[in-house]
Amino acid sequence: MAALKVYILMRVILMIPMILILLTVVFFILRILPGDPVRAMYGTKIPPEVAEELLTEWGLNKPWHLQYLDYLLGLLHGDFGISYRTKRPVLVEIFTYFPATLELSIFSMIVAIAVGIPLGVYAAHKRGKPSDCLCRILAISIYAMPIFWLGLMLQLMVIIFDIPVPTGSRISPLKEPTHITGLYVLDSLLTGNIDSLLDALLHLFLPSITLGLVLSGVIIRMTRSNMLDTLRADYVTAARARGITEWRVLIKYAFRNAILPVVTMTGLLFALLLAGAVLTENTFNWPGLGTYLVTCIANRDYPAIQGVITFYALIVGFVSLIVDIVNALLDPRIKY
Amino acid sequence: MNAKPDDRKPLNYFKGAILQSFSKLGFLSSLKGGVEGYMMITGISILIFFLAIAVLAPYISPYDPNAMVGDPFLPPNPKHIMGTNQLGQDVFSRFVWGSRTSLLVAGLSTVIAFIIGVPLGLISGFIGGKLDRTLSMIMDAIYAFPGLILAIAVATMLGPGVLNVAISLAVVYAPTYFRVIRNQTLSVREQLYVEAAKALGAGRMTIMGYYIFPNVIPSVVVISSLCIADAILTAAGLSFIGVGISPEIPDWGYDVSNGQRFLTYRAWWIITFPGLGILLTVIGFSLLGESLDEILNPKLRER
Repeated sequence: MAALKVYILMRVILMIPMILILLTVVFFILRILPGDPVRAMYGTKIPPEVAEELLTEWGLNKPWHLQYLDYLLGLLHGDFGISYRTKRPVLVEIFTYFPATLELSIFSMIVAIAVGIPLGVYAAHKRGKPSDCLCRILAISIYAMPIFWLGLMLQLMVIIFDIPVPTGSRISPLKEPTHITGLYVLDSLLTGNIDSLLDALLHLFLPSITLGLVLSGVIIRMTRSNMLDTLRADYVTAARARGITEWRVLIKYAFRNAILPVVTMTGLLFALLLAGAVLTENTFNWPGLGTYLVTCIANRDYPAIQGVITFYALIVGFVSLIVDIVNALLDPRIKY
Repeated sequence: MNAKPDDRKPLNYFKGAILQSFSKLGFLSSLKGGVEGYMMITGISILIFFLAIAVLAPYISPYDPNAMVGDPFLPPNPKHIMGTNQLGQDVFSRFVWGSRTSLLVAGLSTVIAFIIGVPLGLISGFIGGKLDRTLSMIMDAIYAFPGLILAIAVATMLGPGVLNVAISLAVVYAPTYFRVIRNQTLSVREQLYVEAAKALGAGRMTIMGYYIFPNVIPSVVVISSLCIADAILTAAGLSFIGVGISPEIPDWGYDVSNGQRFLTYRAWWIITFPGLGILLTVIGFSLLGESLDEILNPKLRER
């Protein structure tokens, strides 16, 4: 256990340069690339002296290394800047929109796992048979599907067949549960509000199916190829030789070992999930971080754009840390 | 410089690799249950189809894609086989010209990502040390970042345009090339023939250019196919969000985004066809990449 603690400590320390690099990349992309926030926001006809004044106010005419220092020091204080558009601190805005994204992500992950893992196991079991081929074609086509298009096609079906499922927003007006965590499903469960629970779940239905299906394509492929590896292992042959039923061999012997490497891939899945959420949210008017980001882009609200991208960078760094720690816990062979 | 054997020249190497993969392809499809051959043929056919309509767009499209050529919201009919959109533009003509935009952006971004990623990967893997560690860390950080969000950030800063979108995509995909090339270089540089070249007094550039590069480049063929597939999707996402190519250029992603406002009118044809265009081209590149991967990396064929 002591070795594990050392590993976790080292990993936490190693996270610092990784996050620093991510933040530096974000900073360079947003500050050094051509693009003038003042003129982008107020038009090119703004008088030069006013533009100059605004640049000074926003600290954009300092040398870039000083700007970089300001940026990092601000982040240390939890200062993500003030939105040009709403004049509110960006961090506050991020935290009002983030629960929606989190809720969508959780439910999409549930859909993705519920669809992806059984199909992956099934495809590996039927390896080389037509049903395996079908699963693989399905996985490729799902992965190739533009997520916003899938969402719109589902909406179209709902409209054409008059299915009573909402195609936009998170909840019907006046049905919001009391704000505790910002996750509507959890909040309505905590307050025992069945009406808003059903409404929230109904609103979650189409967006989480859209995002979940696209993610399941990756899960099908990962599960299938890992299952094929473990199915060829000696202990599986031994289990079969002992006359254990195929179903038990699949689940108890092959699947348990096949699922371990999937944890390693969670980081990649998570990146896909975040990017997919941006598009899904915009397709379904889901008031999450992705919708907020696009609103900020449309309004050229640079501090807010920078804040949201920085926030994404922090999440990515944090998740990769968690994934590594979980991996170390699951697999005692991993050593630092 | 000493005389080099002919098969070390990149061009000849490519010829060999292509011939080899084709002979393997014939072998595979004759095998019972070898699906790779069919996957590749399907992928290539889809790609040839879209490449053809992209190249022949001016001859195929019946109308000017940006002109108002009929009443708005016409459902598919003999005059407009894919109907018209809210501005009375012919959806089919926009579909045909959209393939050109999509392939152009994806191709351009791949070239840029290749130019950035491959030399850096070669140098990083070959020289090693601090340079390698720094470059790898930077590239890994970019690689870990959600691609679409990174592309959104870059595209927002650069503004609309074909080249700008291609650059934003290249930023996302350059680390992939870097990683593959670097890892391959690490193993290839330990080979005996590299040592022999060193012993003969070949310079670093010669070793990298003539001995390592031709041996690491085949792995790029596979990932570039998969990266193009991904790049088309990401580019469509950028257009959908509104940071893509300017509206006057016909573009599938933009057309889908534009059509979503008219879903309630049940104007399905405005979004269905451009979406299918994206879906099919991405499937084409994915199939090609996957089958190439299984054919060129026989160790994985078991999967």
